[in-house]
Amino acid sequence: MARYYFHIKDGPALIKDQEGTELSTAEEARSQALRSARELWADAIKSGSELGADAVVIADEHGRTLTFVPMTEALPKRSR
Amino acid sequence: MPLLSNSPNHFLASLSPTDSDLLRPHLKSLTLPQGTFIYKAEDSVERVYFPQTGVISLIVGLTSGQFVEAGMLGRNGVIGAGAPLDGAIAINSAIAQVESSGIVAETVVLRRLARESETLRISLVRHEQVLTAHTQQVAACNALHELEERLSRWLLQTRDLVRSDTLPLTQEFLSQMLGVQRSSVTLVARKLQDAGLIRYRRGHIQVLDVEGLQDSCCECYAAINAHFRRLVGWSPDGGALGQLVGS
Repeated sequence: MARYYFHIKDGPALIKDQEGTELSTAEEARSQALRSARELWADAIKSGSELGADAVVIADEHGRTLTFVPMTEALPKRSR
Repeated sequence: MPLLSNSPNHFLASLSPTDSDLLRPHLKSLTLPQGTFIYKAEDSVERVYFPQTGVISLIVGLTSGQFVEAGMLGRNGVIGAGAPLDGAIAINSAIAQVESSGIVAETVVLRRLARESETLRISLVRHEQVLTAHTQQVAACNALHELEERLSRWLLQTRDLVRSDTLPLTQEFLSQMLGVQRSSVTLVARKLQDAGLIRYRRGHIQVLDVEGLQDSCCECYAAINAHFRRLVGWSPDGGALGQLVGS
C-alpha cells in the first residue's frame, strides 16, 4: 500500500489534496483519477457551470508527480 | 445518573417526570470513538443509544463496497428508537462519524417500559418518525441537489450537532458520506474556502461564515430542522421548544 495524492490543476493554480488515499497500485491510482475526472465533468455539465479543472495530478507522498491525467482523457468515446 | 431533564440528549431531556423515573435506573454511560459501529445492517439491535455529544451517521452499504449516508443524528435523536417497538433488526448501519458520548439502555428493558407507558411509546414513535422524515429529505437531496449545496447542508447539520465551528472531519470521510469522489470534495471545499465560508486544514474543517453557508445550502437544511421542530420539538439553537414533547 502507498499513499497517493490527487491534486487538481486549474489553469495556473494547483489545488492540493492535503490528505491522500491509501491504494495498492499505481494503476488503481490512475483509475481513481479517471473516475474523479469523469465526476467533475458530469457535475459541470449537469449544473451548466464551468469545469474548474484541466487535469488530475497524481503525486506520491514525497510530493513527486507520478502521472498527469488530462480532463479530456475522461471524456467518453463517440459510439460510432 | 443525574436528572434527565438536564441531559444534553433531547429525547431524555424531554421525558415526563414519570417516564424519567421509569428509565433512569436502566441507563448507562457509553463513549464511542470515531469510526465505531453501533450496529450494522441486519444486526439485532440490543441497545438503544441516546447521543449527548458527537455525530452518528446512518449509512446504507451496497454490494460493490460503496456506501452513502442516509441521515445523521446526535444530541437531537435516538439511535435504534424503533428497536423497543419491535423493530429490532437494523435496516442500515450506524457509525460514530465524530466521537460520541451518550447513554445506552437495553432494548428488552425499553420494550417492557414502552408497554407500561404510553407517553414513552409515543416519544419513541416520534423519534423514529423524525428519522424517517430526515432520511426521506436526504434521499431527495442526494438525488437532485448539487454537491456544493449538499456539502453545505452537511456541514451545517454537523456543526449543530457538535456545537462547535471546528469539525474533525477528513475529506475522505466526507466524500464517502456524500457518495462522491474525493476530488469533487477537494474542488467544492476549495470553492467554499475561496468564498470565505470555511477553512480546511488536514483533518479539520473550520466553519467561518454560518449565514454564508446557509445561502450556499439547499432548502434541505431548513426542511430537516422543520421536521425536528414539528415532530419532536427540537431546534438547533434549543430554547423553549426543547420542552414541547412529553410535556
